[in-house]
Amino acid sequence: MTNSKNPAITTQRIDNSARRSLFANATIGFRNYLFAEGTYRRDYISTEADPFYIDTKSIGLSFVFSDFINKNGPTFLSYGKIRASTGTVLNALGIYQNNQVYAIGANQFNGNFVMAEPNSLIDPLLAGATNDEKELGIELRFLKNRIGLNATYWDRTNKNFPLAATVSPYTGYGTVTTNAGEVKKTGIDLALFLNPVKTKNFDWTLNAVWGKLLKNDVVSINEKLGINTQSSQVSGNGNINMVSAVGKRWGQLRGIGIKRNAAGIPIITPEGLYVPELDVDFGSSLPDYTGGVQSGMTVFKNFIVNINVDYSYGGKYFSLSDYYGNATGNFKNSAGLNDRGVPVREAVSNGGGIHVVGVDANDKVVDMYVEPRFFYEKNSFGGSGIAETAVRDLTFVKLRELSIGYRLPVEKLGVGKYLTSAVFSVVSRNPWLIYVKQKGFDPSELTNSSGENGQLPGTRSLGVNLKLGF
Amino acid sequence: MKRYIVKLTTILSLGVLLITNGGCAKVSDFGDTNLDPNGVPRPLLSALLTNSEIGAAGGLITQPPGLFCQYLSEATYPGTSLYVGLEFESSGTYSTTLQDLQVILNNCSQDPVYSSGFGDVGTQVGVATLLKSYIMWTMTDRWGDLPYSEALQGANNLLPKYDKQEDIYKTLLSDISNALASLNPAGVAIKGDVIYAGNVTKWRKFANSLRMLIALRMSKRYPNPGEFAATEFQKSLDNGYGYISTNADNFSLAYPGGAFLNPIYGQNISQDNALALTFTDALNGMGDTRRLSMASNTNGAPYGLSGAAPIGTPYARMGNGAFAAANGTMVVINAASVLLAHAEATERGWVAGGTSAAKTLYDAGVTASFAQWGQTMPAGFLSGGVADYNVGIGVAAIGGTSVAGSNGTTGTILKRIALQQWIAFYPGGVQGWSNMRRTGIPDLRPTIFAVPAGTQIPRRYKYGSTDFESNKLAVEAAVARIPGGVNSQDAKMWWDQ
Repeated sequence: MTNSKNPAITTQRIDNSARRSLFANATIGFRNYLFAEGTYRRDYISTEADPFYIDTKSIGLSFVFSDFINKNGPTFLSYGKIRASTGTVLNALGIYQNNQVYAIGANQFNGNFVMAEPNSLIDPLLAGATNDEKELGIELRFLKNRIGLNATYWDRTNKNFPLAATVSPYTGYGTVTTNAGEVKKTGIDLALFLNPVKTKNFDWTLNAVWGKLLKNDVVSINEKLGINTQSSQVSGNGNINMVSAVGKRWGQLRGIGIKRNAAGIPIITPEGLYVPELDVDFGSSLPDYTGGVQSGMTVFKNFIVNINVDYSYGGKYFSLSDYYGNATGNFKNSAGLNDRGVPVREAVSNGGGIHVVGVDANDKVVDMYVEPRFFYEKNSFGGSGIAETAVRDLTFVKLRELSIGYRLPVEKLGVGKYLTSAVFSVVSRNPWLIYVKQKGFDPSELTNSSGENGQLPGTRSLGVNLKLGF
Repeated sequence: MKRYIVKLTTILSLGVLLITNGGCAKVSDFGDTNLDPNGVPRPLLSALLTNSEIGAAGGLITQPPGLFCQYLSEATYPGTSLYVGLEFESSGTYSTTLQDLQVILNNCSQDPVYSSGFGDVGTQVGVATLLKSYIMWTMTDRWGDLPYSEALQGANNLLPKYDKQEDIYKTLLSDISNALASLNPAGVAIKGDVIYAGNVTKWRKFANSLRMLIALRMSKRYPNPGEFAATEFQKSLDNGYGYISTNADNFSLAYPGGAFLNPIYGQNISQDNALALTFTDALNGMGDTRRLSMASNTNGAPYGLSGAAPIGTPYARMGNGAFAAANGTMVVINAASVLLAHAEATERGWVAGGTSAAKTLYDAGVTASFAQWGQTMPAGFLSGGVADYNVGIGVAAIGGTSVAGSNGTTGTILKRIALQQWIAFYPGGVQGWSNMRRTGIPDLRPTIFAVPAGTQIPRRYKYGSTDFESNKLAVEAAVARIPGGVNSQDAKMWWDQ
C-alpha cells in the first residue's frame, strides 16, 4: 500500500437504520376459478420523515378460465388464466438521506480538521414515496403443459420520489434533493415454455423470455424549482452526457457529434478533420428489447445439459477506452494498410494516411488522406472533443452459460442413507459472445448504465460444481 | 356457496423491537437511529476554513493558464496548449471552495454565538471575505463575466445572473475594504487558519497586497494617476498596515505531505506537463539562477508540439529539490510580485515616489524573488545587467521554432517590470497569463501547430457546457455582452480591452 506515489486513502463509516412492518394479506377464491387478493403494508422506517411510516397496498384479480372451458372434459388448453393487479410499491429514503451531516475529513492538515459543505442541498421536508404499478397478464398452457405462454403488460409511474436534481453549481451546490419528478414506464414481458421432446431417455425443455420497454418518459423533473433537464457527465467527461429531459425518454446519451450536411455526409475542414456539433442526441442508453433462451436437456436420466443464451437489441453506450484508445493511436484503426495498400502511418506524401471522405463547408466533395495521428487525436479529446466515434451499439447475442452435469447414482454408491442426490457438473460462464454489432468490446459486461469506463474486459470461466442434496 | 375459500393472514413483525424499547415507546420512535454518526450536524467553521485555504493554494497551478503563458508545456498529450476546443467549467469552484467560505460567512452573520467558538467573528468574516475575493478574482480573470452577486444562495436563487467583470472587480475592491474593517487584531485568534495561523497583522498585509494587485490589473482601463485603479491602489498605502514586502509574510501554504501533497509534487507525478522551453530559455538566456530552483533541469520542452514529445527525453519538471517535495511550500502571493506592483504603480505615477523610488522597489522585488527561491543573484544582474531597471535588455528569441518570434526583450522600464512579474508569478499560471494579457510581456507567439491553424493565444476561457445546461438564459445574456457576441476564447475581457 505504501508503494505508491499518492498515498492510499482509507475511510470508514457507520450506517444504521431500522424498519418495523405490519403486513396483512387476504385472498378470496370463488369456485376455484375466480380469485381476489389484497395486501396492505405499513413500514415504519427510521430514515423517513415524521410520521416515520409509509403505507403500500395492492389488489389483484385473477380468473382461471380454463376450468370454465374444460368443464366438459379436457381440451388442448391445459391451463388458462388472466390476471390484473394494481398497487403501490415502497420507494423509501436511503440511510441518512434526509439528515445530512458535515463529514470530517479522514486526515488532518497539520492537526486541523478538514471539512466541506456537502455538494447536495437537501430539502428539510424530504420524504420517501410510493410507486404506482399496474399489471395485466395472461398465462396459458397447452397440450398437457408441454407448451406454455405467459404475457404481461405493465405500467409503472414513479412520482414525487426523492430526486437529486442537478442545479447550476453557481448556487453553491451540485444538486438539490427534493420530492419531485415523475417517470412513466410501460412495458411488455413475454415468456414461452416448450417441452418439445419428453421421452424416457430424453427430456428437453426450452424457456424463452423477451421484454420490451414501451415507454420510459420523463413527465417532470422538478416543477417546484423549474428544472426540466437532468444531465450528468459520462465517464467524467464533459464531451458526453447522460440526459433526461421532460417530454423525452429517460437516459439519452448526448454530446459532441460530427457535423453533417443535409444528406448526412460529414463536413470536413481543410485540414481533414471533422467539424464538431454540440448537443447531438446519440440515442438511448437502454436497449429496445432484451431476452434470453434457456435450454435444458436430461439425457439417459442422469446427464443434464443446460445452455443459456441472452441477447439485447438496440441502445447505445459510450466507451471511454475507445475514446482514449482512438485518440492515442493504441487501437488498430490507426495502423495497418489503407485503401491504397500503404501503411496508414506512412506519410501522406508516400501514399499513407487515413482516407477521409466528406464535404466542405460549401457542400463540395472532399476526398483526401490525413495523417492518422493528427486525425484521431484532433478529432477526439486532443482536439474538438468529438464523442460520437466512441458511442457504440449495445446489440449482442451471448452464450452466457453452458453446463454439462451428471447425476451420481447415490443409491448404487451406497451413500443413499446420507444423500438424496449428488450432481457433478462442468460449468462455463461467458463462453462465447456469439454476435456483437460493433466489435471491440463486450457490451453484455458493462459496469455502468452509460457505458464502459476503461473497465477490465469480462472474464470467461470454466469450473466444476458438485451439488449435494441431503 | 360452501366452496368459498376465505383466507386471512396477518403478520406482525414488531414484537422483539417493542419489547426492547421498554413497552412505552411508540412503533414510530426510532430514537437516534437516523442521526448520522459519520459527521456533525453543524459545520466546524475552522475546518471549512482549512479546506478553503487548501483549495485556494491548490488552484494556483491550474494547468491551462500555465500553458497559455508558457510556463508549462504539454509533453504527452498536446491539446490545451494548441488552444483547440477550449471550454472550461467555472462553476465547480463555486460549489466547493467558494461555498465553504460562504457557509462561514452565513454562520457568522446568522449565529455569531456559535461562530465565536472558532475565534473572533469579525476576523472570521474578514478572512473568509478575503479568501473569497482572491478566489473570485482568479475566476473572473479567466472567464470574464460570472455569477457573483446572486451566486452561492442555494435554492434561493437557482439561476443566478452573470455580473459584468467591471462590477465584480468593484465588488472585490469594496469587499476588501470591508474585510479590513472587519479584521480584529484585539479579538481571539481564529482557528483552522493554516496560512497565517490567525495572525491579523499578516491578513491585513494580504488584504492590502490583494487590492494592489487587483487595482494594477485594471491598468489598461484606468492608466492614469487619479483614476479609479490608482486611487484604489493608494488605499493600500494609506492605512499603514503595510503589504507583503518580505517573504516571511508571503501568502503561502506549507504542505505536510502524506494525504496533503504539495500540488507541484502532485502535478509532477503525472508525466503530462514539462516546463516550457520558452520559460527555461528566458531564464537560461538571462543567466537567471532562479532556474536552479524553479526547474528540475535546464531543458524545457518545446511549447505546443503537434504530437507527443519523444518519450524518455528528460525535460525539466516544475520545481527542484525541496520546491517539488511532497511536503513543500506553495507560495500563492509573494513579496516579489507585490513589490513589483508597487514599483509599477510608482513608475506610472499612480502613487508618490517617482522613478527613483520605483527602481528601489523593483530591485527589492527582484531580490525578494531570488531569496524566495533560495538563489544568489548573479553579479550585476540589476546593475548594468539584463534586468537593470533602466538599461536591462531582457532576453531575445525564447521558446524555439514552435513559437518562433517569441521574446522577452525589454526596451522600456514598464516592460522590464512586466518581464520580472512574469518570472515572479511562476508557477501561478492565472497571474502569469493575466499579467501577460495586460502588459504584452513577454511577447509570446502562439504555437505554429495551433488547431485550427492560426489560432491565437486565448484571451479568456470559454464558458463550459454546465453553464448552458443549468443556467442557459443567464449565460446567454453574458455571452451577448462579450465583444463579438459569441462565447469566444479570443474575445478580450473588460480589463483587457
